[in-house]
Amino acid sequence: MSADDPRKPDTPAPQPAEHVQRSEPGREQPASGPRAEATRPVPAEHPPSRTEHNQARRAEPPLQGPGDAGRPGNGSQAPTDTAARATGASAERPAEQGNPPHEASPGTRGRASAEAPSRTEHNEARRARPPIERAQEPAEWRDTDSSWPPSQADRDSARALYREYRKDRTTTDPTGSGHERGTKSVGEKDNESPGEASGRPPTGPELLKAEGKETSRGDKFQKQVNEDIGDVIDLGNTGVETVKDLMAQPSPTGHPEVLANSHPAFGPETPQHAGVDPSAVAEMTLVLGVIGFQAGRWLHHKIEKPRKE
Amino acid sequence: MSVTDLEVFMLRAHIAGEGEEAQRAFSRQAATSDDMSGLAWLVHAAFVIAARRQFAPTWNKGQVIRYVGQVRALLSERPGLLDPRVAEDELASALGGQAPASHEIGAVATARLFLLDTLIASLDLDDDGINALLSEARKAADQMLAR
Amino acid sequence: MTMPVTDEQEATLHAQLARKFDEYERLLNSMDPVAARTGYRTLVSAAFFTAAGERFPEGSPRADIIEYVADVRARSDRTAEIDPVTAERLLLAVSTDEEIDDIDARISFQTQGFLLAALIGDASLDGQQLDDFMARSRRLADRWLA
Repeated sequence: MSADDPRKPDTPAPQPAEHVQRSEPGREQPASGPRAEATRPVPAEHPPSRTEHNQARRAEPPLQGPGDAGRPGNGSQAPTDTAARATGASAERPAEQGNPPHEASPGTRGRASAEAPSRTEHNEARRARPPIERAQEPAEWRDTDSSWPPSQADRDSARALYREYRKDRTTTDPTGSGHERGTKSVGEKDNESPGEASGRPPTGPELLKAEGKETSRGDKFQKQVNEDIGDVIDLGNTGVETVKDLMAQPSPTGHPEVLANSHPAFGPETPQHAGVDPSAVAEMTLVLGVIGFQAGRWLHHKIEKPRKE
Repeated sequence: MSVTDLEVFMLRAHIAGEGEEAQRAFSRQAATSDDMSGLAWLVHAAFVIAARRQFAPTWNKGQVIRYVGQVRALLSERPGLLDPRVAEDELASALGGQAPASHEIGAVATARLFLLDTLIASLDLDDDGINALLSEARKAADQMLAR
Repeated sequence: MTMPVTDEQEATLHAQLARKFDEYERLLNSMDPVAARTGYRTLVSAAFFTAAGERFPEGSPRADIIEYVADVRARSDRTAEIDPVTAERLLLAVSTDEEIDDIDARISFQTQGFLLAALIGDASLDGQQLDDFMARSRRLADRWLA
């Protein structure tokens, strides 16, 4: 039995008490957009809200296009380029509503006007105006970067990394733990990352929820980088040998082998037993009897559970 | 001064998962005796013997780190239960390595006890095996107490 | 607004993660030390955050992180010096609500750097994958610096 393994040789790997469906490990850090870690500056001129814009638009003559007459008004506003990119999932909405992306919705009251501008003119005029700011949309979500959502290549790359990791973890390793943790949920294929189980991309609300958490977690690290830590170059030089050890392939076995019974276990020649303080022994006994034995039942259960499975 | 039968009973009950039984015996002994150092020496001796058996014939620091990591992973629901540095140092010391750095007494005590539990599981000792281990440990502890 | 990450800073970290250690040390020692305190330091942290999030996404069992840190530390006498609890907490902070503001910033930075090296080393990225990873990390760092 491996000296490394705290369990019986034929004991299956201990499973986590609860398996939580993992979010997709291929989550990418988008360049900008809803997952922006830093707060973007608010434009100096605050654009009109959706309500203000809609009111202004209703005051304008309606558009006339083929088939527009008699169409009921819907008051909806097709998202502009910026707003569409800000929430990736919503980019689908214009198409779903039958409107081509980035074009104004047809206009909808059904009232004719002799002097109404053409659809093209109206669209050009609208694009010239500032983008609509959705009431619920934080200023920092508006962005002009087109790197969100992450490209298929980025996502594939992350998933490939995860699959490689999974493959390595299942390889028999005589020096390793010999077990695998973090089994997948039902339905997940072995070569899929946890987020791929259902074969569908995450929904907009799922993405937004994940992004909110990710932003606040990133904040923890962002806050720390503001603290001065002195000479970063010196730190880099100091740690370079450790980095080499960490990145060595295969991993180094830099620890020398020692005989397990090369020194006496007990006696005055053992440094830890020479001159032992009686009060320390008494304190140790107290801890054993109170804390140690109290935890014993839970500990026994945790150790024995994998043995019995 | 030597290890008492009650102290051996306490430790055996703890190893068997009968923590309440062990605690009751501890309270009983505490009420009748001022000196309970036998238990600390018994636990230490049993821990050293079990460690040397588990890591025989040779060991290295990496194996100790990985073993402690696996134990802590098993106990991950209570991350504060086993201090990794203390556990690694105590295990290396038990195997004949360098004397451990000065650690807090309580952390040392629990590290030795909890590692003893996992080492017994790793060695896959049955009741007879546990009794034999405790018997050997008692002899060693008595030698230390006699000094 | 702080200066964003420079090409030199990115090239330095890239060299390290590509195991080009001679080039890494040369670039590291030619960096502007003042700019490095912000730009390079932020890049390392952002890269760690990115790599850790991909390796241990939300929901990863704590036990996995504990074992990974043990595996990292077991590689050599030098790696054994990495504080296990600090390393575990930093990884947990990426995927859980674990707080890290009580961790000394210098130790945190150094530990993040070591974990980053291990995570990327273990991922065995090819050239393009490493380039993509560096681009993502730099974008995140620039957002943090903005």
